[in-house]
Amino acid sequence: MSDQSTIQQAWESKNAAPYLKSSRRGLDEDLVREISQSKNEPEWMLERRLQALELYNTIAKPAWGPDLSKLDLASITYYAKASGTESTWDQVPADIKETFTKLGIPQAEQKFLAGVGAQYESTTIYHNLKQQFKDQGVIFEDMDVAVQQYPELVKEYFMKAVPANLHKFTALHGAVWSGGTFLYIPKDVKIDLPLQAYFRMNAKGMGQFEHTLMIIEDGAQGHYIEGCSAPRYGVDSLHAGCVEIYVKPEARFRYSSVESWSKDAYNLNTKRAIVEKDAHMEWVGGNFGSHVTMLYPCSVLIGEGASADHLGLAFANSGQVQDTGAKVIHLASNTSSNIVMKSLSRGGGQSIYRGLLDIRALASNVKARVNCDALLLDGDSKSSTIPEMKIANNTATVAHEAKCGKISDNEIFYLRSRGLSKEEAETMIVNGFVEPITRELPLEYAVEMNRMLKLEMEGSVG
Amino acid sequence: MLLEVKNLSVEINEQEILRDLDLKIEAGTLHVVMGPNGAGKSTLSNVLLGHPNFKVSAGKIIFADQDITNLSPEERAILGLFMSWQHPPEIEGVALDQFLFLAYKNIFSARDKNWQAPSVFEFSEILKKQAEILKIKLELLKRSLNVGFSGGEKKKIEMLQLSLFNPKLAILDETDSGLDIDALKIVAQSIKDYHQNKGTVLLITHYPEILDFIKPDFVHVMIKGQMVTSGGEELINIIKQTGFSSFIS
Amino acid sequence: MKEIIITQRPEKNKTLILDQDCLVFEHLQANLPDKINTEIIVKDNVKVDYIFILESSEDKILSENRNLKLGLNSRLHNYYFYLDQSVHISLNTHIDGQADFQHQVLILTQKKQTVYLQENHHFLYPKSFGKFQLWAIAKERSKIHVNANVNIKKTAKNTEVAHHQQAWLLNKEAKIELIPALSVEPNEVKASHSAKVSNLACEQLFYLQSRGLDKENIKNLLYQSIFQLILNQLPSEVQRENLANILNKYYVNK
Repeated sequence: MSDQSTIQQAWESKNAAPYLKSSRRGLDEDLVREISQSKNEPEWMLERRLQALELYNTIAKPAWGPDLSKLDLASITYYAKASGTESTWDQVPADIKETFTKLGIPQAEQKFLAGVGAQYESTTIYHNLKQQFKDQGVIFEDMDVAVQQYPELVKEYFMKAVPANLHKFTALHGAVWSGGTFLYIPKDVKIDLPLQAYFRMNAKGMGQFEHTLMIIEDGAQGHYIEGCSAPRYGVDSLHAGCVEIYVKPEARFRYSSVESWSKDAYNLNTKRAIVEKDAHMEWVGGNFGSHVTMLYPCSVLIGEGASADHLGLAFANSGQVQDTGAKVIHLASNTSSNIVMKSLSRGGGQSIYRGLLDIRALASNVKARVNCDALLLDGDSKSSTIPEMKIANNTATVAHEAKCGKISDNEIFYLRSRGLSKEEAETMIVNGFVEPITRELPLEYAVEMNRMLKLEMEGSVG
Repeated sequence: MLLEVKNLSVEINEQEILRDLDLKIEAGTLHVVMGPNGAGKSTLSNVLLGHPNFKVSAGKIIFADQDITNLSPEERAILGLFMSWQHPPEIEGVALDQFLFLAYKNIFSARDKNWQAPSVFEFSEILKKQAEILKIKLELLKRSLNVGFSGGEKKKIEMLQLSLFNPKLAILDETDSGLDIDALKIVAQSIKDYHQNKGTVLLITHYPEILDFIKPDFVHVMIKGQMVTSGGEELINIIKQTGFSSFIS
Repeated sequence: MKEIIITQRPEKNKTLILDQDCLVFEHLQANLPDKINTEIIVKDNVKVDYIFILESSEDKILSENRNLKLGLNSRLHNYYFYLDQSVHISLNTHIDGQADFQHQVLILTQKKQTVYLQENHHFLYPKSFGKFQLWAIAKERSKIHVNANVNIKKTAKNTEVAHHQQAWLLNKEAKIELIPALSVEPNEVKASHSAKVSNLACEQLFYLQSRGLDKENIKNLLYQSIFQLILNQLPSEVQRENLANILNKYYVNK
């Protein structure tokens, strides 16, 4: 394992700038028009972009949360067309391939992450899937393509759950969004296979303003997994993506994401689900890396009997701030929610749980549970829990519990007395700590995440 | 006649659950009502108690010579009607011993104007004795009512109240469900003691097992909101052998 | 044990330096100034029980800025009661030495009152012990907002903190907002917090009614049970009776 040249340095030195030289920094109306034009977008989408741009120029950065003062919005590249010559697998630096291997990521996925997605399209699995989806009426497409091919659907739902005026970064997103995933599951269709980001066509590598729009019709079921534990390199430092999920009556949907961002990245994604009558939404997530992450997946329970589960894990390593949490807004009666959050911090990292449980006056008989635990792996780090509970209906039952501390010396000693080394014991205990989350992930992701944890704990991720 | 239910029809959310139901219970007798799930047995007990969600659309309920059809639950309790709940709710913040003391005072002072309430200490002694008979852990008495109690413990607390309040009529709603054999014996003994002490019992169950310990005077079968037949112990044997199918016509 | 009694007519600004073991009984009732600033300093090695009752049912909002400082090896057990009064309280505690700090608060509101309680408790020294407990009952159209931050700084290794909040809303229009926040820097720490909002809704009400209790009884029962929890912890029998008499106004004891 080479630590003298970090993986990031290896990437930067060996890879020519992955963007077109003519891409420029900063954001103005011309750039927004250029983006829309290069995608051949219909007029209504351009209009929405321009409206969002106006909002972006008027809204200030949030006054709460981690320090965003060093984020220089004027110097970021907001849009860059993928260059005509896409990198081949051979061009990807060896160190990066090594990290992928260490993490046990399947080769196909490695290629996708390295921006060589085109190679994946030629596999049979992928083609069979595409046929199955066509037969069922499932649409699983690149967002840019969806705007062209399914304009009625997109127009109806795009940025309604997460409106551009929510905060500065959703406004930014509304102006410069590019790429992402569009998923439509028709009524009563149940997809057992977890859909993964790299299944979809024409993946152009990780974009920083990706828009994910998912519509799960009445009685339908699905599971989508995004990301992977490998650090995403070669992309710019601001991510203001957006995920909107509409879970219609009696539908069930799970959105899993295990994300790791490069050390200088600002991960300011906004994720929201609208959950209707008797429908169920699950968020399962792991967040590693980044310089600053502000991420609070939000479930809005608007139908009677709707429910949501939020399971999340955040690891803040040296120089990192993971400000994550969950928001559940109960607007209807007989709804329920369950939040389980685990956070770890090490080497001076700061992990913050920020949650909101909002039970409105018209929502009767709501049952809500929140459980957030924090593990401080050494004496240099910091952990905060800021759970907000707003209850305006007197028939609600709410329970919140949180614990914070270090790994128990007793537990370490016990495991060592059974022959494990100190590091092995710590790893085992940390895995146990996050088990409620990893058990909900498909096996290969769970394995990846455990390996990621191990690497983070060794401090060996660049 | 201690309890007389006449032509009782009950609906909830405009859906009829009980239809033209009749039931007569003489003081000192032990009645059993059986029926399959969904027969309306719990509805019957809730309606007798005065649950606000159920609407009596026809008929009446007469208890101890009084028409109680429109009385509130607390008024009925004071008149001597008691129900042991199938799923006693958990009530955070209300201490069990304080609740028992208040209910005890309310009920006994209503029965006899000259009744002298015991002191807090005297009452706690009374409680302790009962708890020991029922093998209830004493520390439960200080906790919030039913919060974190096991199913068996909750049922025993219901039996504790039965022996404390000594009501005129005890409606036991699936008191036996979810109990292990030891708890079942204790609960059955409570019911026997109460009955032998001039109590009147209306036992609602769909497990015939408890009837190995308790001998009923009358057995009624309820199907789809109606009392379809009444008889003696022989009905229990039929149910044990062929379930309720022979009663569904 | 010395007893210090402070009632009525508090000064707008006061500093209380406690340099010997004592019990402080502060009961503020009528004619209170709109804004009060209070500073309480518990000196090294001193043990203090502090009973603070703020009730005036005057139709205005009282605001108080209160600062507490605990010295080395000190002990401060607070029993704070905010009763039947709209208040806006900012409470800051600095635990500047190994100390035993207990802070128990009871809030009762009714009518259209609002209680806004902002607490910041800073642990700055190793091996301190903190126990925080809040009970809040909101009736009618009242609103309670509690933002309680427990802050364990890097210098406060081996601190042990438990922070619990419990609330009940008795009417449809009552509202509550709770933020039991915890910020921890050292890892050699034991910290836990919990918040629970319970109700006396349909099923629970019906159960208690089926035992002969009417709505008034039931409300009183809840108050009584909760008062008992606090009263049982008061340091002396005299104080227990004292408080019981004051709290009795808030429910009818048949």
